[in-house]
Amino acid sequence: MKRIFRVGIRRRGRAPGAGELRGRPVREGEQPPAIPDPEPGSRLYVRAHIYGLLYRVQKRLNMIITGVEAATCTAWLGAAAGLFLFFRLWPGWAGDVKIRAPLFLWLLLPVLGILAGWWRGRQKRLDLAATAFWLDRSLQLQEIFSAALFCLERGCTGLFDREILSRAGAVALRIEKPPWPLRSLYRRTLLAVTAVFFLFLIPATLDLAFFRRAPSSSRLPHPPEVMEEEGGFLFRDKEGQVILPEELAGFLFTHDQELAERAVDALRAGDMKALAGLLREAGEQMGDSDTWRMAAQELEEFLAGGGELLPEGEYPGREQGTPASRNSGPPVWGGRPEEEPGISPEEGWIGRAGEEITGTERVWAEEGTGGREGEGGDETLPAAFAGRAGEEGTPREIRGGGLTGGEGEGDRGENVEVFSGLSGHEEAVITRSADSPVFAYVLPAQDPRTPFNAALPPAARAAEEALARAGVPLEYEEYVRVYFQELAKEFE
Amino acid sequence: MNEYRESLERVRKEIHRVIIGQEEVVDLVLLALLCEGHVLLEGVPGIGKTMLVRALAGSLSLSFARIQFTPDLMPADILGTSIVMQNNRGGFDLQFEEGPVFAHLVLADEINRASPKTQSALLEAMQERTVTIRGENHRLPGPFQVLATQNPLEMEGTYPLPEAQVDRFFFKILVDHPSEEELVEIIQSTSGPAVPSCRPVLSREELLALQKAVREVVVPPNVAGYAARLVLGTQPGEKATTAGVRQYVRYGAGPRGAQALVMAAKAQALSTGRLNAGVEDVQAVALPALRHRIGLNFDGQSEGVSIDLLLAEVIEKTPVEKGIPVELQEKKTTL
Repeated sequence: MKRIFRVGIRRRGRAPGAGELRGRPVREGEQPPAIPDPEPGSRLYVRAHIYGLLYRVQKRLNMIITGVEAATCTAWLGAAAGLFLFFRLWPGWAGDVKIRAPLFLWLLLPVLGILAGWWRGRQKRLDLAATAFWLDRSLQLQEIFSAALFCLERGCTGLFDREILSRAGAVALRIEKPPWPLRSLYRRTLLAVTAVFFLFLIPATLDLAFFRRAPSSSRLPHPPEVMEEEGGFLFRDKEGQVILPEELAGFLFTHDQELAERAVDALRAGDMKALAGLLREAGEQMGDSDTWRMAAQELEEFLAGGGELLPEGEYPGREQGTPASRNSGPPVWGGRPEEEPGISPEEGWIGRAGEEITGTERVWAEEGTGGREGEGGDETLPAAFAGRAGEEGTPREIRGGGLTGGEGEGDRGENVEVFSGLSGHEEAVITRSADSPVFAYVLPAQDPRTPFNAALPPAARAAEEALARAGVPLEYEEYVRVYFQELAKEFE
Repeated sequence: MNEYRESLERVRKEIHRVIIGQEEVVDLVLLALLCEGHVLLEGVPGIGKTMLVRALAGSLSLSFARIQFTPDLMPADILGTSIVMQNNRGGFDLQFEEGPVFAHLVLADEINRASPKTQSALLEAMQERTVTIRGENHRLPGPFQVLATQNPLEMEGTYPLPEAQVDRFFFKILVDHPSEEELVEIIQSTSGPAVPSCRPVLSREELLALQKAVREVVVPPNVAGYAARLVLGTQPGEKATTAGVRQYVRYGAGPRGAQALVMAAKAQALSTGRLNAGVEDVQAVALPALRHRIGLNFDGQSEGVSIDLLLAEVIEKTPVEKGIPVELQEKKTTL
């Protein structure tokens, strides 16, 4: 690596002597620059210049040494972490293994690296003699500064000491900017940085999951409350929102589809003990066992207090379409058509916004409204499938509940918003009510009788686009992805 | 400082009026003279070893003596002897007659042909700079330098110098054949009617001042440390030595070698007009100062390993900048 430094020439009204220092290092085969004739000056003046230059260079070199050591240590620590992640994630690429660690652990790596580098830098610090020697070798000065420092330290008792000091002082005067060491100084650091790039950053980009944190504890189940109106039990989260079993399982076990399915079964069966056990199992998997253990403990306390969870099918008011009985079906991504009673796999959940949906349909009956039954069945579609396409990207209030045949019509209920025309083809309708944070997407407009295996690809594309647009909350991303993967497997 | 350099330059030029080529040999002999060190010149006959010493003596206006070593040479033939002389009172006294060693420059030609006893007598005089005869010490004149020659070809009937004796020499200089151009110049300059000779260009006092100035040249601690590492690198028992030394060397240079190395570096610095010795000065004189202080083992001798190559490897691999982190070190200087 070519050294880069500059040695300034201070002109004092006369031409520089024959020993003008060049502004570049002396290459092999070249004659080293001759030492310039000493300039007249007091002894103190000369000494001050020599010491001043040496101290400046010493400070700079020690700073560089410490900085490079810190960077190298940090990079090697990062590379070691990357190597660990590489072997940890490798089986996960074929499966579903995630690495979760608190963010502060990743932030600890550079802190440790800096501390280690600072300590190593301290061990390698240069004293004044070593600094003088380095300066002599860098500028090919034939050890003039080393000799001058030696003379100063022994009190200038030698015959030639003063002459040497004069010469060294003259050289020091002509060095305006000391050189920067830029050769293989950074070779080890570059190697470490390359290692951390290939061992840490590349795996990180391949699987962003290991940058994720554990789900927020705010989404963990809160001890259930009694619904005064119905006398039953429902789960509410800490924000007071009612959560269905599938939603709850999705919140709790976003990292593991298998655990989520088992949780759904446990919730539907009302087996809270099994749910507590699943929580513990999740805590062990994720390494954040304290949080999960607390949630399991809360559930167990609830059970000890005599509380229970009514299975989904027994929620009072279901038939009346009250909010408490709002189980008109899970959101599109939460359920599987083949598991929903009355819906054949071929028919699925297809609906076109703005059209009357005949055949298999479900209506989300809002409060105060009646449900609507379609032909061929008494299942209802979520209100998400109702409504008409509006302007692209524009939320639109739709009042009323149930299916509507036209814009703004009806009785979908309050707090229902329609986002339409997101891709020019489909319409997304996000419905909310005071009781439920359910989100629903309308599938691309197709004939409601389109077979499911023909409807699945565009649905999957729509979901993929939604994920790409970050239109799905983070905790749902994996759920959506796995959902469509499972669907695809079923119909292969 | 400049006058030191100019003085040496005058002597060099004067010698080269007579000696064609052999610049390095002349420079090393001058350096040894400045350090009051003795020189062992090794070369085939007829390449100008004797002529060089004569030219050196002539340019320095110093007394010169030549001793041709033969197997029958006795110590008294070198040192001198006491002879019976008639005094004024009609009686007889013993008077010491100085031998040829009592000269400023002594040429000991083919030193390896004399018996060990005679060699020891000369070497003792070299070391002590005095001659003791019948209990009386006779000091040798200063400056005093012995330039001994050895013929590397004829080993039969010779008495190779023991290692301990060879170690007393400051330099061992290998004198090579001249090149074709130099040979032509030698022929033309020496076969004509006028044979060149040297005129005195440096007085004895000036030479003594130069020798004193050499001792005043400053050697920084890191340069002395480098010289020490170089000497230690020639010893096979050291950790920081080369594989070649470990394999082929029986013994390496010692403290006397380190002293010679540093003194020669000082003289080298002074001859180039500097008042402090540097790393390059040490490297420039390392070969002549150390090559005769290294002994090969049987493996090295049987394989004909060159000591100069081993030394060159040691010089290349000895770290110059010890104490400076590897990240800041510059490229190693090589010969």
